[in-house]
Amino acid sequence: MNKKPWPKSNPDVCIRCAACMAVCPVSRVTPLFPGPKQAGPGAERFRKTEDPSVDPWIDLCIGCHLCDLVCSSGVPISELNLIARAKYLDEKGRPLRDWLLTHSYLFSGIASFFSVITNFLLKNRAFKWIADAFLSIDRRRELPPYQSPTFRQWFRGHHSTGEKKIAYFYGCYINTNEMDVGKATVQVLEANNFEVILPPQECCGLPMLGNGNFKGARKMGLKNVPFLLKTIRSGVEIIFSSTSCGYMIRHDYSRLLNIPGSEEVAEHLFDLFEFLRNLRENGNLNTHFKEFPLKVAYFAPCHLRSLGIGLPALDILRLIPSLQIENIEADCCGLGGTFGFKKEKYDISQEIGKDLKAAINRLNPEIVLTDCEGCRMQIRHLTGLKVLHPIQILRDAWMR
Amino acid sequence: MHYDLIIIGMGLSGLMAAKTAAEAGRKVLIVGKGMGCLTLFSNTIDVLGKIPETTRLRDGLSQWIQDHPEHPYSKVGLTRIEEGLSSFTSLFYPPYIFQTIGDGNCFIPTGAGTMRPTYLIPDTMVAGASGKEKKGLIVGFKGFRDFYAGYVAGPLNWRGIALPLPETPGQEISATALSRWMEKESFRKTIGQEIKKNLSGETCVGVPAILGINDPIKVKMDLEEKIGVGVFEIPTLPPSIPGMRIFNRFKEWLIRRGVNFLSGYSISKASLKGKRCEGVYIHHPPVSSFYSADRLILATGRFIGGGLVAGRERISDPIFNLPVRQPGSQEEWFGKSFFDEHPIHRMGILTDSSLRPIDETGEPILENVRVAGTILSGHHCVNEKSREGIEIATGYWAAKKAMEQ
Repeated sequence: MNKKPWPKSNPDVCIRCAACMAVCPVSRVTPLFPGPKQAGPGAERFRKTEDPSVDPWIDLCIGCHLCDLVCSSGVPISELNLIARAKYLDEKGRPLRDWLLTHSYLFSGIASFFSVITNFLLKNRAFKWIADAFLSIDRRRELPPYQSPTFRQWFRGHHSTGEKKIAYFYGCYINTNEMDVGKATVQVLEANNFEVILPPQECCGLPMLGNGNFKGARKMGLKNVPFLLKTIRSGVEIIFSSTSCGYMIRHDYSRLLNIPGSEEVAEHLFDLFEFLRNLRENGNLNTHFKEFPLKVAYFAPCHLRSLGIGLPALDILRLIPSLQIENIEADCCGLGGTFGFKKEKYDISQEIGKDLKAAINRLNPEIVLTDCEGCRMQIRHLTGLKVLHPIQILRDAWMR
Repeated sequence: MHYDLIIIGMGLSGLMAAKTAAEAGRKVLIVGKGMGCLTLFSNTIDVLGKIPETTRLRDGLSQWIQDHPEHPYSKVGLTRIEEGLSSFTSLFYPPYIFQTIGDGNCFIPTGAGTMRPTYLIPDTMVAGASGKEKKGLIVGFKGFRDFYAGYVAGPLNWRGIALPLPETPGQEISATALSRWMEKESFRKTIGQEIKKNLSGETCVGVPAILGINDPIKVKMDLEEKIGVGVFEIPTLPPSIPGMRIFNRFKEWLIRRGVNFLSGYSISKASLKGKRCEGVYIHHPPVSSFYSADRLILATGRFIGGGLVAGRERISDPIFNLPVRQPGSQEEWFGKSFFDEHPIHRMGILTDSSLRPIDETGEPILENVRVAGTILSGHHCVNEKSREGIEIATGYWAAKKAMEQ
């Protein structure tokens, strides 16, 4: 199939039915954003490539994809918004802050090595005040601490064994900020008789794409795909534990970024719990769980919903005896990757988060579980509760 | 993945089918291209608004079934229709419940300035039902363009006012944003005081249906306390907040029961073998996934939901390419009034009495597929005011029949 580098979209298939207006988390909390119907297909009809962008509100689309998921006419609304946003930001120019927020992979190694100093600074009020005043990174937002050793360093000293091989795309955040999620993933896979391998990998590029930087994101994709192709061509499938990285590689790499080989990678790339659910379907999942009396609430991240695989973590965790697990009835958490760190968007991010917080309060859980690191940060920030990746609970519930 | 039952379509009929099968302990996948049309059309549950005002619904339905043997209601039968409706109402627990006024249709004011007959209404609309005898004040909001108070109040000879919104003067506001504000006590206090000031002898207050998503009864009761008279919601343009409440309730219930709930993905292909469908492919570029099932239900709705597609010459179902009843030529697709017995509403899938798709000779085409909802032929749901009733009854019955197999 001969595809153009830029997605072809047709706003005219929109029938103006307003289903997207029922679910948009941004237009629900602020009148500054007119909502997906107008911002996407509505405004698209008036946009011309050669004309300058006229609507600064386009930058308020949080990129949650909820509008795409409810549209019966198949309008790629969030894609229209993203392309319009990219054009707007290209013209307006991006602040240094946006570069810093989307290139953390460049300095995370050093940040992790000097984690004591880094974490002191990230928590330091004066430092946060400076970041707020000069970079417009909101000082009310906690900056995630770094860990040492990194997940990859830990894995180097770990001897993985199993009958079959499985490759793991862990992503930046697991590597330097939440390495226990990576550890738990490895342990669970090994308990199911898989030898885990880590293919070479870079940041997937989603932070850049989310900020309308198609060029930067494509560069990251071009680095990753050859590594991943090599892995799958050697007969090893790949899993991911971060639904954002996973969505990026599985869908955005081909559809939005046109990266050669990405379609082949997508066929062999699975969400961790989707993979475990497939094992169970074939009767191959180790289900030696112990009684695990705990009251937890599960939140489905936007990118998980967009993957279109249902809620596999919920399906698997329900197998654990005595674990009380409820699905949180709320949509977007409001963080939107880097969106909620930005000073001018922090209040919107928090307003969206309030609805999620209310939904969590109704369930009153001891621990909240969610597959996305962004959602975990936001839920900790909103509620102060302990928030984990579901794989950490699955690991802990294992009978040893 | 393999399922006992795959339901295609996430409108009210698909949701009802999923509920019915999940209740029986079956492994269910419900997949929809979008979220269905509950947030567009539905506020209350119409069953048969066309029958004379004073007729009991039961009598009206039974006569209707006798007079219209091809109608979906006739295939389901009176008892099953009633079972379906009570299964629907059992999903809602106090305080937000659906109820009837008496044993027939009631009339409620609409955002289009009419009184329309309907059957089951949520508690938030009860105070406005059959309200011609009362004297009410209709309240709209400046900046909320989906509701004009004067338009509603005029035909009733009531008074309509538009209040400015305290937080965003001069800006446009969406139904969901307004609903969210209504859930805030401080907002209700300001609005409540404003409404109270504007009352002059009215004994009830009608507002657009935006009294919150999560706890509308609490919002309503608090407003009533602040204003001093009864408050009721009036259905208006999409998105429908009462429709969202129905959708959200189904979704919550189905996910809790372990139903796999996939919204946003269309079926790219059905896998057929002889007279059976073995499963469906869901295409999410660049990945295509196969889901197999013992039985399937097609509940994709009509034109807006994408269940029926009109080409240049004929109208078809894009998933199974089942025969669609339609006039011989495209010239006959047109009619003067959309709301009368317009020929476009005549189109739909032919089925036998157990809702299996059939060809012109009456032979079942697919043994393990049933059809439910407005995509069925033999009804004029717009004109009959029977949309939700057909969806509930056929969704319920299709799942029951599928499970017998």
